[in-house]
This record gives sequence, structure tokens and C-alpha cells, in this order.
Amino acid sequence: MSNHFLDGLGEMCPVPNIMVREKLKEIAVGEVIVIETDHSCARQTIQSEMKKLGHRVMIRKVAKGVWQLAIIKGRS
Amino acid sequence: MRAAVVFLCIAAIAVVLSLVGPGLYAHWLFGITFGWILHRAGFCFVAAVRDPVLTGSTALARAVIVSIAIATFGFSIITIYTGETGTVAPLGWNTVLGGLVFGTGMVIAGGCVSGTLMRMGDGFVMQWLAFAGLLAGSLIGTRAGCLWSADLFGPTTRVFLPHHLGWSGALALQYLALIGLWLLALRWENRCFAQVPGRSEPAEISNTEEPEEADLDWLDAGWVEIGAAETEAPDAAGSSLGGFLRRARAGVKSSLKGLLTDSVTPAVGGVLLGIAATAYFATVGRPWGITTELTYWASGVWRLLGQHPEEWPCFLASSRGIPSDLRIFTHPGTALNLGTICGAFFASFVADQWRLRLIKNWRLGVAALAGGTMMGYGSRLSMGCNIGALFSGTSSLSLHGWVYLVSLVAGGTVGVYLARILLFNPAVKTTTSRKQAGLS
Repeated sequence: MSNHFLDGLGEMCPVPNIMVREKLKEIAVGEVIVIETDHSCARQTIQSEMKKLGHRVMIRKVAKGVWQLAIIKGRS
Repeated sequence: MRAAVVFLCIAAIAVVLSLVGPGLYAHWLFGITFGWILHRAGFCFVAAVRDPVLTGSTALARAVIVSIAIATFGFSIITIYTGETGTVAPLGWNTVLGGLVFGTGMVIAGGCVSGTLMRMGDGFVMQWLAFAGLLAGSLIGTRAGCLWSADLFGPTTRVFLPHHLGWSGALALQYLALIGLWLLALRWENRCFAQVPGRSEPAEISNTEEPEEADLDWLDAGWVEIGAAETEAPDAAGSSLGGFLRRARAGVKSSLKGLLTDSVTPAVGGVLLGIAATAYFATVGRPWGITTELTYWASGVWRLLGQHPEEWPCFLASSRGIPSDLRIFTHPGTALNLGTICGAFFASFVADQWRLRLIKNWRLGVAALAGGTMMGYGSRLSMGCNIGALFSGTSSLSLHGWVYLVSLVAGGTVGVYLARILLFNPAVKTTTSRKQAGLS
């Protein structure tokens, strides 16, 4: 079991979302992706979409306007 | 504390504006409202067009449909009672071409015009560049419009649906189209999300017992699980009327809190925008529009550079003309657009989320400038952007809004394919990805 870190700082929408989606293809159930993003909209999109796709999603604010999202790949 | 400071700022500027020109404060306050809602809901017309093609998500598309449905209702009441029609712009090939160019540009620029204003307020450098492109494109579009002969695009005509179908016919058709599109969007998302390749295969499942419990110890302080609150409150469940009311009350409460402190869902944003846009139309007598004013701004800048756009024949011919002194600071549109930028800034600041959001590489800067220019040019052709032509146009029951929507989607699809090759795929490939990264 391992976790994966994606650096999405300064990327335009929807690149952070695509990064997560691409990574999800590579990893096994229960593994965790942590993505860091400063894009307010991408943060909202990723958290609601990943939830809908059946993954667990956790969020924390690491600085003003910078968030880390943890996506725990679900069995869905 | 922050909220109080921001409230005082907004009020103080409103007072100053009321001394500068009649009614300017109202435009300012509505601008603040629009910017605030756009920011909190992450309300993005680009995502509404792009995501169905790119990821299959239609959350934003459905939110846009909801906002138009509400504004249609509000605008119709205003028109019936006051006789004041909304945005019914000339429809012709210019509408089609404008939508195509605009749709492609907005995907590349990472935001349409309202999204650009909102993200400028939120500190995105990329959108400031897109804005520069927007001004340039508006100016080029205006100049080009002057050079064309009037019949280049063939005749244009204003089609106000109730004139042709009657009010009941027009409204029935409008709501049929909106409900149909909404259902189609929902089905599309369900279909796409059911076949996402990232989903696990059955074989993997049997290997992993309760994976959720495993190895989350490294997730140290400060993490909040999304949607945990709903599952922890069983009394909110149930299909009875009481359960429904409890859920509705909880939803309103969390939306109000999100509106003040963090974020609301796109659907909530759509409802609020529909209401706010109706209130704006009722208050100032015309629907929300952004780009006409941006053209004046661009002309003002061009004049500062020693040029004379006010002598261009199309400016002389247009009904509003260009004020010879170009005192754009007394224009209602200026108060409105600056209000939108500031509204997003204040929203971001109150939530303690504002930062200068630098672009990652030159590629994004070029994309912003090019996409912005395309949007500026396109909006001159179609006489409005996603707000003026799409949102206000369709809500005013004008056929040009619907024609614009169709070509916008076509242009947006082209934009997605271009952006995938030029922007998205290279970015995803070169991004940092560290295994077992130490997080702090």
C-alpha cells in the first residue's frame, strides 16, 4: 500500500482533475493520491467528482488558497 | 472581522459611486453579488461546455441550465409587466461564427468572460493575461466589424420568440428544451461515470479487505472527509416528508454557511445567479452583460495610446455610440464589471483563500492571451459572451441565445481537442509525481 503525491500548483483548470484521473488508472484499491492545488474551482470539481465516482475524499487547507486533497481509491 | 472590513469597503465604495453618477452604486452592488456567487460556486461556463466532453461531468452544465430556467421565469415576468424586452440581439451567421470562436477561445483561456473576471479577483495571473487578450480581441473585433460590409454575414434579424409563438408557446418550448437538456445531461454523466477506466476491476476487489481502514495513519492533522457529515447524521435520511424537510433545512443552512465562509455547490450557485440576474434586470432595466463595456475599456486604452477609435464608423453608427470623452469610470458597466472582480476578491479574502496564483509556465501565458483574444473577437461578432448572449439571450427568449449556445458547444468541443494536445496532456506528463512523498 502506498501513497502518491501530485503537484498541481499553478496548473490551469482542468489539469489537476486530469492528473488525478490518470493516476487513478495506475493504482490499486485502497491506495491514496494526494494532490496539491491552488485552483479554487479545480478543488471543488475534484472533490465532488471523485466522491461521485465512489472514492473517499479528504481535504485540508495547507496555506491561503492552497489545498491538498486525498483521494482514497474505492472499490466502487 | 474580515467580513466586517469587507462590508465597510463595499458600502464605502457604493457611497462614493452614488456621488459619481446616478445609480452607479446599484451596478456596483450587483457586480459584487455576481462575483461573490461565481466564486463561491466555482460557477464556470467553460466547465459546463468542456467537462461533458472531457470527463463526462455535467454538474456545471446542469447548474447553468437551472440558472437559465430561473432567469427565464424572472425575465418573462419583467417583460410582461413592464414591456421591456431583455437581450434580443441580431441573429445571423455572425452569431454562429462568434459562438465558435468564443467557444474555442474560452477552453484555451481556462475561463470565459465572467470566469475571467471572477478569477482575476481570486488572484489568477493567467486570467489577467486572458483579460489583456480580451481587450485586444474586442478592439480587433470592433475594427473588423467596421471594415466588413453590412452584408458579409447576410441579413441579421432579431427573433423574440414570444412574438412568433406567443408567450405560452415560447415558454413551453423554452422549458421543454431546458428540462430535456437537463435530463440529457444527467444521463450523460451517469453513463460516463459508470465507465470511467479508473474504476477498479472485480479481481482487485477480492484481494483487498476493507482497504479504507488501511494505512491512513500518515494522514496527519487537519484533514476533513468530504461528505462525512451526511453519513454521520442518520436522522437526515429517510424518504418521509419529515426527512425531506430536515434535509432541505440542512441544505439551506450549509449553503448559507458555504456562501459566507467557503463554497456552495454549482447548483446552488445557479439558483442564486438566476435570482440575482432577475433582480438586476428589474432594478436597472436591462439584463446582465459584460463585453460591450469591455469594448469601451479597450477603446479607452487605445485612445490613451494616441489612436482614435471613436472615429470608426461602426462606433458612430451604434446606438449607444462611444462617449466622446470616454469617461469610462462613470459608465454603469464599469461599476458592474469592477464589482464582479472585487466581489470575487472579497469572497476569496473573507474565506482566507486569496493568493497571487502564478502561472506554472509560459505555455499557459500564451494560451491565456490567445484564448482571451479569441473570446474578445468572438463576443463582438455574436454581440455578447456567455453572459450577454447565452445567459441573458436565452433567458430573454431570444433565438440568438440558443443559436449561440449550439455554436458555443461546437467551438468548445474543438477547444477541448486543441487544448488536450497543446495544454492538458503536456502538463499532465511533465507534472511532479512522487511516490511515498513526505507530506507536511
